[in-house]
Amino acid sequence: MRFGKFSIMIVLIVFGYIDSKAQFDFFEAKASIGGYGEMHYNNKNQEGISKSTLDFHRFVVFVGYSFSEKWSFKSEIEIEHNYVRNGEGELSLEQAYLDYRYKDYLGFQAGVILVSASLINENHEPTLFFGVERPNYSKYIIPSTWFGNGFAIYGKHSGFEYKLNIMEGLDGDKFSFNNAIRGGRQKGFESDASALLYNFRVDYTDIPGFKIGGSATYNNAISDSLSIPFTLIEIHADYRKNGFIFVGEYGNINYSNISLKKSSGYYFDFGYDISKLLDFDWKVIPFARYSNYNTASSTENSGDEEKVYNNKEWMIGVSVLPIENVVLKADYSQNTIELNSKMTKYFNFGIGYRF
Amino acid sequence: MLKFMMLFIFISNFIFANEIKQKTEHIINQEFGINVQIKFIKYIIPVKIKNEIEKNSRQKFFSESILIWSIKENDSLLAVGIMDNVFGKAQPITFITFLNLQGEILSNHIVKYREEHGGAVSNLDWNKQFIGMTLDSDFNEIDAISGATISVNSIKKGVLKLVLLFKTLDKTELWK
Repeated sequence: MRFGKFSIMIVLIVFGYIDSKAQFDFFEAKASIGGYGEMHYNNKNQEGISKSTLDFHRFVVFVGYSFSEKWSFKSEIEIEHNYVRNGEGELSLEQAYLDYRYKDYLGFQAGVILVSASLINENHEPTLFFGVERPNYSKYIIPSTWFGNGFAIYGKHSGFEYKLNIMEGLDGDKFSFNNAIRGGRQKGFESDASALLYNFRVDYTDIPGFKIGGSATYNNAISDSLSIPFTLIEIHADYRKNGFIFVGEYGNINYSNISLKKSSGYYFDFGYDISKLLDFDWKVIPFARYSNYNTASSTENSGDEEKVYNNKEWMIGVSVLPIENVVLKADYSQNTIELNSKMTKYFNFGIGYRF
Repeated sequence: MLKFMMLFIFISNFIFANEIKQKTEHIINQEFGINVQIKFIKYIIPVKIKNEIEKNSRQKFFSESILIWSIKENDSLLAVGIMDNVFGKAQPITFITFLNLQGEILSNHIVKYREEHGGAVSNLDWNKQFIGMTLDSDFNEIDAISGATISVNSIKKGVLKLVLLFKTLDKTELWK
């Protein structure tokens, strides 16, 4: 026989080795399921007129599968406001991507991915942020949840984590004074890929309890007339140690070719877990927030245009976590518009979970 | 052709399979010196014990088995390392907890982290918080990590599971 004893020996070695490897190799292909959800009671009081709503705001399911040590798939499907009808509510595929992790310092993703901007866009489970609703900064300056079709390169080295996303851009015709770039998201729906968006984020995470970083995003947004280049620069920091929690974010968007020239905003949170002081099993974290965001902080005509969307906001509230994956929240806030000093008061109560 | 194919499979398996093993041996040598004897076994957790630990720790085991590393010096058992996986957001995190024979944690190490986010749980300083902990310790005292909340909670419960499991092991059987 041509292969003879040598071949048989190789086969035996290979299968013997694979068997011993199987005993050691600490990985098995597995599916994973997770999710989160949040229901909110919102009360808005403006000049004595009160309106209350009760809304199961988000119901999200994660489905993932690890094919091997290096190949995996992750997805996130979301229903907003219970169901979709007549353009209200939303059913969306917010994440669905293949991931190839070559080494710690280099991995690749392709599919529906998240833009790496801000603390909340990529980590938005209700147990992770203060306030019943996500901070307004994370709605009007960073249009979370901001996702789309594209490719990513990511990795970490020496305490630095980085990610470069190249993905669908925004529809510049839907930029507005009151919503900045939020309306321009294509959300992966047969996305126009004629002008890609470039987004690069870097974070330093090597000090336990402290994360600091920033990102830059550029896109020559498509438009029926002249394209609209914009640049978003943001910085963020998060510190959690000995029960103290500080969170701060700042972002600025510059536009060209439209009368809207700039949108900017920031917020700071300070919280303290009093459960240790009170010897509670539940985490009880009172917090305070100050926020200022203006979706039209600079415009071609300046004047009142730059004051009408300038929001200053104070918030106090509490997050109570009976267990790590369940949160009860309450907050009270006052939001004042610079132009007319009109104040709106909000009282919110919410429950949230993740698993 | 067959020979080349077999050789390729052998080499590729050798390269990828040994990553965790080599890293673990490196950690053991750093922790306990290069003169220690090392042996590992795959341990199938008895169902009754598994169920009880899962109930007490509020976390499921990743699979029915874990790896137990015995570290011997001068023919006496010095420490035991228990290696397990816990889920991060979607991917398993492989970690090893070293305990002395009294069940006190000597150290904890993340051997392989596969998620994109939350890699800060691999930080050595953060893992030092587990040193000296026992069954009587409050694992909620472990600090959070910004941007790694899910991984931190998983590892905390994962380590607690291994401390609970250690108590049930017959240490005299480990080196046999």
